[in-house]
Amino acid sequence: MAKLVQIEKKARHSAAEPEIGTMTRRDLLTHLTKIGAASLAAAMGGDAVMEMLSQTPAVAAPGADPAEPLIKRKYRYGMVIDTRRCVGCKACVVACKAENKTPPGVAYTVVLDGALGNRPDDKPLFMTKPCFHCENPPCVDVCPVGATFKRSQDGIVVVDYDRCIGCRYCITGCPYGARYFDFGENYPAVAEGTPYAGVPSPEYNQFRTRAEGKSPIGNVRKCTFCVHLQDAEGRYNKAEGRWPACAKTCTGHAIHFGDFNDPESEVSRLLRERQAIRLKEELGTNPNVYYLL
Amino acid sequence: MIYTGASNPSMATEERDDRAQRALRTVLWLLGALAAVGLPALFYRLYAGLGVTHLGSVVPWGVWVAFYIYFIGLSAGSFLLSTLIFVFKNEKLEPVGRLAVFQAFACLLTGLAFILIDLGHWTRFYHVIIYPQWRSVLAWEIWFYNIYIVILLAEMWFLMRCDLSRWATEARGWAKRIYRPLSLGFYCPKTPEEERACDQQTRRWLKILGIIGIPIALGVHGGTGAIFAVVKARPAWYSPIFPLVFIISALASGGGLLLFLRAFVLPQPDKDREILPMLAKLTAGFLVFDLVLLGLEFLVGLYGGIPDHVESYYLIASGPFWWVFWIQQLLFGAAVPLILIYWRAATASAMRLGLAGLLIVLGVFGVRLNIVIPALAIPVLRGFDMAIDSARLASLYVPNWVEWLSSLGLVAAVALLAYAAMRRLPMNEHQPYR
Amino acid sequence: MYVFDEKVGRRKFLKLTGTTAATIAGAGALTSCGKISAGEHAITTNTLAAKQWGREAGEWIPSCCNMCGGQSGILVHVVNGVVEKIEPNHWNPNNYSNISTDFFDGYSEEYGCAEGGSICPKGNAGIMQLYDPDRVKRPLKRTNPDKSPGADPKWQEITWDQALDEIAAKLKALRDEGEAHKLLWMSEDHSFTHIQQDFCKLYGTPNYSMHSNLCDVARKASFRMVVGDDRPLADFIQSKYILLFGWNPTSAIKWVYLPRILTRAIERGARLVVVDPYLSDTAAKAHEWVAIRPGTDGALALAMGHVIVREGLYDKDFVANWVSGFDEYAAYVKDKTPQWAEKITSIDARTIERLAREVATIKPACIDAWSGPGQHTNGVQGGRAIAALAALIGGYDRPGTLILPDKKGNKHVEVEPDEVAEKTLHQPRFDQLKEKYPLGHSSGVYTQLFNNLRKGEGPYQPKMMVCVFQNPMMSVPGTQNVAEALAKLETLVVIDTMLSETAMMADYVLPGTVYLERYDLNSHWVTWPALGLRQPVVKPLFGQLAEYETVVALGRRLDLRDRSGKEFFRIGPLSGQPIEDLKAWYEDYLSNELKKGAPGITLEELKQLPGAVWVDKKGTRYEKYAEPIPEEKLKEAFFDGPRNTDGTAIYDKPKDQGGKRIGTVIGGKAVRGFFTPSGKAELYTPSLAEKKDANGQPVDPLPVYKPRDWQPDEKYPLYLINWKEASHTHTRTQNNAWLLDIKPNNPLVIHPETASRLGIAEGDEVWVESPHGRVQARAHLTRRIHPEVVGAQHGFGHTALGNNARGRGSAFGALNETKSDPLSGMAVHKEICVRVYKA
Ligand SMILES: Nc1nc2c(c(=O)[nH]1)N[C@H]1C(S)=C(S)[C@@H](COP(=O)(O)OP(=O)(O)OC[C@H]3O[C@@H](n4cnc5c(=O)[nH]c(N)nc54)[C@H](O)[C@@H]3O)O[C@H]1N2
Ligand SMILES: Nc1nc2c(c(=O)[nH]1)N[C@H]1C(S)=C(S)[C@@H](COP(=O)(O)OP(=O)(O)OC[C@H]3O[C@@H](n4cnc5c(=O)[nH]c(N)nc54)[C@H](O)[C@@H]3O)O[C@H]1N2
Ligand code: SF4
Ligand code: SF4
Ligand code: SF4
Ligand code: SF4
Ligand code: SF4
Ligand SMILES: [Mo]
Repeated sequence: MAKLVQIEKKARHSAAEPEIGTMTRRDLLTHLTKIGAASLAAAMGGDAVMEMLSQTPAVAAPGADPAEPLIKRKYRYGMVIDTRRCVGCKACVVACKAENKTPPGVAYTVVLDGALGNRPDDKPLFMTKPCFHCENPPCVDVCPVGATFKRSQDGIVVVDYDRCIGCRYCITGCPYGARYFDFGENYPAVAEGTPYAGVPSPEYNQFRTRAEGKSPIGNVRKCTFCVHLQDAEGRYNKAEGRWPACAKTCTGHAIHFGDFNDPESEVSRLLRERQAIRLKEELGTNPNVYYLL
Repeated sequence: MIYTGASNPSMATEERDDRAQRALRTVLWLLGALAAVGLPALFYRLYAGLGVTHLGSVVPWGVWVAFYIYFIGLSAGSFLLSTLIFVFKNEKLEPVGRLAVFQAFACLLTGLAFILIDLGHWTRFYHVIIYPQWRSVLAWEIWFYNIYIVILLAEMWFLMRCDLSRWATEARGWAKRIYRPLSLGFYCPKTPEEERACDQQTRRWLKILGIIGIPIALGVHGGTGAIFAVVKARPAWYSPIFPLVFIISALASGGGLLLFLRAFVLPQPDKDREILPMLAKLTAGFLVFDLVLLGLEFLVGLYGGIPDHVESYYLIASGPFWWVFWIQQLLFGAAVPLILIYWRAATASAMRLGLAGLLIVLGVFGVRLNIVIPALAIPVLRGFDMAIDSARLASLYVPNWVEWLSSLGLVAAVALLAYAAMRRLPMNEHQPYR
Repeated sequence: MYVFDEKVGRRKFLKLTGTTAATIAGAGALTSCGKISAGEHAITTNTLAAKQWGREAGEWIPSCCNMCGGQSGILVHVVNGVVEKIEPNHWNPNNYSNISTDFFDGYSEEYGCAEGGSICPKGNAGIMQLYDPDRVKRPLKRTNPDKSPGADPKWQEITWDQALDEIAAKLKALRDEGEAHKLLWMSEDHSFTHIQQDFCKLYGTPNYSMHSNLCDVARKASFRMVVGDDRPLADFIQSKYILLFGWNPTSAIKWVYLPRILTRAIERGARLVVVDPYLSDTAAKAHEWVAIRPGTDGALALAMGHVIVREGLYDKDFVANWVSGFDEYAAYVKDKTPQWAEKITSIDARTIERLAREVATIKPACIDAWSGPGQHTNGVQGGRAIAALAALIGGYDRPGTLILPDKKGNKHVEVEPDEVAEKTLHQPRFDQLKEKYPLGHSSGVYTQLFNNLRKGEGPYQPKMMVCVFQNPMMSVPGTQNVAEALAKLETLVVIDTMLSETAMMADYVLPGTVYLERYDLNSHWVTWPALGLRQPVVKPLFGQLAEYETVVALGRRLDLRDRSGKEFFRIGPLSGQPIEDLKAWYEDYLSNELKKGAPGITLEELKQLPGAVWVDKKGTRYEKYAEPIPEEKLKEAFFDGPRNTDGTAIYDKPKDQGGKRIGTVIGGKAVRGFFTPSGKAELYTPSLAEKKDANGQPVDPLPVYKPRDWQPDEKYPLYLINWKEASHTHTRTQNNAWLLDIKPNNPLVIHPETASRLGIAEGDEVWVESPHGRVQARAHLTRRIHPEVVGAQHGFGHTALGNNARGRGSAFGALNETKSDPLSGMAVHKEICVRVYKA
């Protein structure tokens, strides 16, 4: 059933494209009925069941902006990343490491240079790729223990290291490679006990220092939108430096961060003014990270 | 010493038994040796964490998950076969009923052991019980497994309670103290009428449990398939055919294992002559069905030509582990066993059919590897595996010695335990206590 | 968090309104809005640790980065004595823009520049450089005299006192025997150079050199010839057409403003064209990549000049008033047609025509070049042709063109050597800079130095070398020659943070400091005066001396005095008082330089400025060449010729008193002009004809194109080039764990067509062979490179440096000759021909 809804959802997302036509779910159901599947349709028990099964909410006002979340949040944090400004320097990757003290093999953002296909001269298109904090995050859906979840307050997808059992189902479930398992490896500066080894990670304001067998070792980790830099009200502040580390360092000033709920935020303005794409739009994950081309 | 059945064995079978006995003893020693090397590796992993494996963040699931779905499949397959007897009243197969159920139980525990050792924080396994997240197929599965265990235990009890209570009176010393509690205080009826009533009651219960068990077992393994099928991030998994494939291949592997065990480990030559060919053809049927589904999957996937999807098929068929597909899965796992079963079927010996069963069982493991790994080995975004330098982001995953040794150790240990249990339990109806 | 507040001073910690939430997803969040997501629950936090380690804990200390020579501003978060994080310093123009109007647009004292500054990946990874466990921790003394390749030096750890005593004793012996000139001193070009120069002068060696001649002295010479300035800076952000020859500013990020101003220019409508044999990461941002044969940039520039002259597209006004030698140039380029250049450069003549028209008609256009054209034997003239092209279109010192920077900062107060020193100071330089290199630079000529040393040639045989913050074993072409040369020295002292390849050749290795452990004053490379402070944010980790302290300590042991007999290294230059503490003495030294320099403030005052950076508020000035020289300056000025004759050069004081050029008489008026012989931008410099280059050939007064010396032939048919990328600095960061994450090695880039001809597939191990040796590399196939060229990032292939670095990637220096261009002494890193075959 989930599959049907997917198809229908896709149609709604690309209303302008006639390939699937304007077949609404009702049409689809009628169609099924006609071919003798009335009982099946009845068994579906309507939208409620469909919605329960599907990761992508089925009901939305006609013509509604697919980017508009269905859940009302206090903030809706996201990024607009300008690929024309990105020079592929990877300062964002290193800044995130420095901020979150991630171990080898864990990089909350990485810079891709071929994700959108190559050109005749193999000219790269750089794009930094943090977690997209999807509106419909498949990673959250698959977690058997609810250790990873989307915060209703601001849409940030987090991991509770104390609850996570390390099954890595969520890694398989993320279509964007935004999740990494912490295998417990350490950089030499940490492994060999230099003064830096004692510096804890501010992640989630938990300030954990690395210790064998202790979380987050054995857990899945991911970009947090540097949530530890929020204030008590859940706000960021660039002037105070409480701003995602990758965006703060970006040499091309390509990473715009902000609240999509605030019409005056830089990210909202950019979405209004420029054309943006999201990766794998067809999966209905509804990412909160957009790319300007 | 191996149990040779209640009836008088002929000379020929005695000889055969001798050979089989010797072979079995070698196998047992081998298993013992494997367990002796493998279990330390297992404990090492449990102590040291997943860092000692070759798993990564591009291919986060490896050989242990393959073993997990493999054993869950064997379990579900065995159980479903048992329902042919207890629900659908295939009387001819009745002699393998207990074996099938026991096998389902042992395989389930093995599968769960594999998923346990695969957890980054295995000591937190109970979180799946106390923090279930119901949108996760895996959470549902855990509960399916729980219910399934209860059903299997109940079936085994109903099947064996008579013999157990009899053994409890016949046995001496510590054995008595085991069989008595196992029979849960059940006492064999004394009069023939009572016995008949009891028998009927057993059958009724088995039927009820079987009926409840069918959807559960389907859920157990179809659901295991769904764990993969719902992952839209991985085009090679994201297919409604997957749960069905899991069930059919489960039946094939369950049948295969039953064939093998019946032919080599717990033979009852008089009954086997009838049972084994039938079981073999049934298994072969499932195998062929499975192949058809596999073909469909390839056909649709390749025809569609969605790059990630096609790439994983190429990886399966011509990647570094092409031989798993062509040799293990198709040649020895399908073609050879089908020949063994159908070629001059009338003269097929028990050994031949048992061997066919074993090959199918081994072949299906290849199927499991090819389900889990290639779909993950295609990075979700092009270049993702190269974006930062780390072996943990490699798209080529080759299990290391810790993974293989611990797996083999675990399987060997379970096989030994299961063998010991089979020796000590009334695996056949009205089996006398020795 | 560091926010500048005048009242509180440089380190104010902003108290947040309320501390951080006790729970991340508090109960409020759960109920506040809409549907609860699957699994949402509260996560516990550690408020106590947040107080000890959070952003409000510890100090945010403003300083300057030195992961490369760029000196970007940084804010360093030091908590409990450990560097926790390094972030951009928003008050430093180097992190934002090289144009003042852009920098000050929206600038506030509390926050700095409007959008905030940046730092590059290397800047972020400074922490791993500081806490690298492979650092040199204590002075090391070699006990194995064998210095052949791969020999184990058998290091013995010694105390600082022993090390300084022994080194000083050797230095003293040399000086006492009147052989002070037999000390060679090599340093980096931006860090604590003044104190090293002072030491050399007071000690008495003329052989102080620094790495500029490995870097950009060809470019310096080219632009000095044409516009009389060593380093004009590109004003990208105001430009509408940017033509870059072999420069990779968005990846060879030196001044971290570069990526911003270049991408912002494109965003504001500029067209970017990059001429490079490799589709560099900068070319990846360009509208057009022009794939050129290495070493042929001059031909391209001349052909463009041909089109511009032929079609009369040059800036007639600028040429008429501010350019000299136009006619000679026009005559020379008459036959330098695009068709002529096509054969040389492999660029389609039609493309050359179009590019010429574009660059001449889209205004303002900015033409610039850096290492690409320069690091070849014909680099100076090639660069000069490019500089001349810029002059043709009036592309100097106007918004959106090449700006002649108004660089001011601390003043190097020259020391006066005593008589003993004076004697040996008059010895010729060992590298024959003055005799041989007509357009040479004060940094010397490393290649000549090493060749002389190795062959026993040159004016004398040096005995000792102090090599600070340099790794010539990997950064000078011809590794084997350098090794042989170094082995000839009686004593080699290396001051390095790591056991580099060069340190492995040393007799003494002294541990250096990482920039987070020391001071420096950095006059920034922006177009108006700005100076940033580097200050120690942590104590040297191993209690080692900072490099300048080592110099001072040696100076004290040698009892070096200036002409007046003052113990230079004991008496504070500003205070005039004896200062025992080495660090305190150096602080006084820096204060002196600041006081006497443009900022006119003390070190302590500099620390109090927002971001610890002094920025002149007057800002960028344009068309300075047309500015009249102020009356009061003219009064004291020295005229090097008749006062009213055009072309008379004007100095601030007589030349023999070290007078600095301040202008020229042009149109009868004393204006700044350009600091060339004619005072104008020169397309033709007649005086050059009198000079001979290092090979004894006459220097052409025109920016002629001559093929570079080493051309591909049948045996070695491929050009081999190299470049820098954002991930690493030269040969010094390949042990940095974070940087290795983003770039672990340097595969040899080959065009797929070339590769298929050679039977090479992606990932194959290949041999890269030249007449000088062969090196193994891993092949990477991409159409990002000219089919006749192979290339790789420079810096990998270490045999030392540290455990992470050793054995990663390939070093191609061994395939080269130890050679420079004959005009400026620029090392020719990019002039190699090779053959490539499967290993
Ligand atoms: N990340 C990083 N940044 C740095 C440095 C660093 O080490 N790392 N070093 C700093 C220093 S000291 C310097 S000098 C600058 C240098 O900065 P750049 O001048 O940009 O230095 P390169 O990358 O060596 O060379 C530039 C380009 O020249 C190309 N090239 C090679 N041969 C030719 C040729 O014959 N013609 C043309 N047109 N192009 C050619 C190369 O492919 C390369 O893309 O970078 C500075 N910035
Ligand atoms: N093939 C090729 N060669 C090149 C180039 C090229 O593009 N290709 N580029 C050339 C250019 S542009 C330049 S500028 C030169 C640069 O060449 P060098 O100036 O020699 O710079 P590095 O190679 O980085 O070596 C610097 C040494 O100083 C040490 N070091 C680093 N930081 C510190 C410190 O803070 N204190 C002390 N005491 N030591 C420190 C490092 O460990 C390293 O051993 O290389 C040139 N060489
Ligand atoms: S990008 Fe991946 S990890 Fe992030 S929210 Fe979406 S699915 Fe989850
Ligand atoms: S690894 Fe952790 S967060 Fe991911 S699905 Fe498993 S329990 Fe959930
Ligand atoms: S938002 Fe924060 S956690 Fe996410 S990639 Fe950027 S720096 Fe890393
Ligand atoms: S720091 Fe900015 S410019 Fe550099 S790679 Fe990341 S997003 Fe691109
Ligand atoms: S460019 Fe990067 S490494 Fe160089 S000084 Fe600036 S931040 Fe540091
Ligand atoms: Mo340089």
